[in-house]
Amino acid sequence: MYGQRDIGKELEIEIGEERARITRVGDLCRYERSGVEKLFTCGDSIYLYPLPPINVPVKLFNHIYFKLENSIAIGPEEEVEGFIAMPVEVGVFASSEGGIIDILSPKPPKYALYGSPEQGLIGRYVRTRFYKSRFEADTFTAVTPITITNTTDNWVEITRIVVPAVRVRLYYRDSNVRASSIHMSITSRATATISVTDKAPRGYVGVPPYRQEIPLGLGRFTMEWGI
Amino acid sequence: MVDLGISPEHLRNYLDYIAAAAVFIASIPVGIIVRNIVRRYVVRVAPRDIAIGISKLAYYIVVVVGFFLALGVLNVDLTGIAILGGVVGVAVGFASQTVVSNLLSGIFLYFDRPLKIGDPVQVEGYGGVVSDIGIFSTRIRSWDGVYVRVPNEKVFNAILLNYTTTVARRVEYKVTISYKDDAERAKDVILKIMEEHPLILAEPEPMVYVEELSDNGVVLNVRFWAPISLWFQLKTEMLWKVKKALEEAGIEIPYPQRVVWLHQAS
Repeated sequence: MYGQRDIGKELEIEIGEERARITRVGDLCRYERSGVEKLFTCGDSIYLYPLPPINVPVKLFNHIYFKLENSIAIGPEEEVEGFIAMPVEVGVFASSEGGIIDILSPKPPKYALYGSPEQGLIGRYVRTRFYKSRFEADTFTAVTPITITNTTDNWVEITRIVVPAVRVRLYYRDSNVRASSIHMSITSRATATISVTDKAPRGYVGVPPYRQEIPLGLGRFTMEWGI
Repeated sequence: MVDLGISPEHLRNYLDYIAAAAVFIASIPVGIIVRNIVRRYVVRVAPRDIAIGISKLAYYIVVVVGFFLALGVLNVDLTGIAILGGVVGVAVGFASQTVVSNLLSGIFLYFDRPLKIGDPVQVEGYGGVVSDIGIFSTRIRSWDGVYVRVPNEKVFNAILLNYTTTVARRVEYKVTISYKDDAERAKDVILKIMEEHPLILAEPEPMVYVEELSDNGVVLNVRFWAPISLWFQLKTEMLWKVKKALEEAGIEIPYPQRVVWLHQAS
């Protein structure tokens, strides 16, 4: 699914329920799918890469808001490791180093407000289970390792995790996608610090960073409106 | 030596006039240089509008100083001008109370920051997008494209609505359905189309409830939250979708109605 695709004379690609067609027009290529038509300078191939789910339908928000379907209670100074499911978007690139032609979201997007309307933030809303072991994910879901450390002296219950998506890097192997590891350090009953570790899983290929500019303040993220 | 037919005294006078004119004319490029330097430095610590205002003030000060220097070259007695200036100053002082008030309000607005360029706002009953904030006035481009200049004093004292200082904003509709239809089903239909729309926020959750049993039907209150930048788009888009969804579900939005009983006299 992901990676390089030869265009040849014509290429048809299927991404979820969408079908796209690439044809040659002189020395250019034409990309067509429902409601989208683009001409672009092309070589022999195009590239399909999984992307963090923050581009479709609007590129306004930089966070992913995971709502856990099964909450986790963690004892004082204990650590839990597991996995969560992150939907991915699919980017169609003209070259391996950039040139986005199109981005599709095979999973229907939804957004939610984390915090207050005055000071909170809006993020891509994802309902996921917390899996104790690696799970079988479909082509459009990234298995995301997560470590949760409770640094407090109290039991805490976690129902949500907010991650700065632009820090998340994705890796693929055929149709499998993995995301950077997330570390959640609980600092009180209502606050936590989120950091993202960029370490390639063995045998997986990293998606070239396509967004060079990372908004300020998105290195470590503090969840201050509840966990 | 060539005799120009001009007495030395007259020649000195001509030279004084030329020197005075040169001083005044020279003050203009000096003023421009000072203006550019002031703007370059002030723009680092203040918004562009304020920097432009202060740099213009610096330019006029240099030109006025140049004017008085030129008068000095001509040996004009400045005492009379000073007295006249004092009288004019008092008159201008009274007349410029509003100007000063607007200037101070502009400075306070800079620190208070209730609005910035590009914000959709409502001030003094005028709604639109802030196109410029000057040191004396704020310019608003109204929703229908008309230019409105509001003095800063009014902006500072007015009840001001700024539509972009929050992240999200609520949309609210009142939808009336007929008494013969099931309100619970109508709620489910409306909630479903909201759930399907990607930009209607999942949290805070959309809400639909029976608000009133009115003369014409059952009034449902429909509420949902939208990202602030998409609020108007969603508000206009969703009302029609609600109407169509209810229609497709066979739920009637009734016209105002009265039941009239006709009694036939026996």
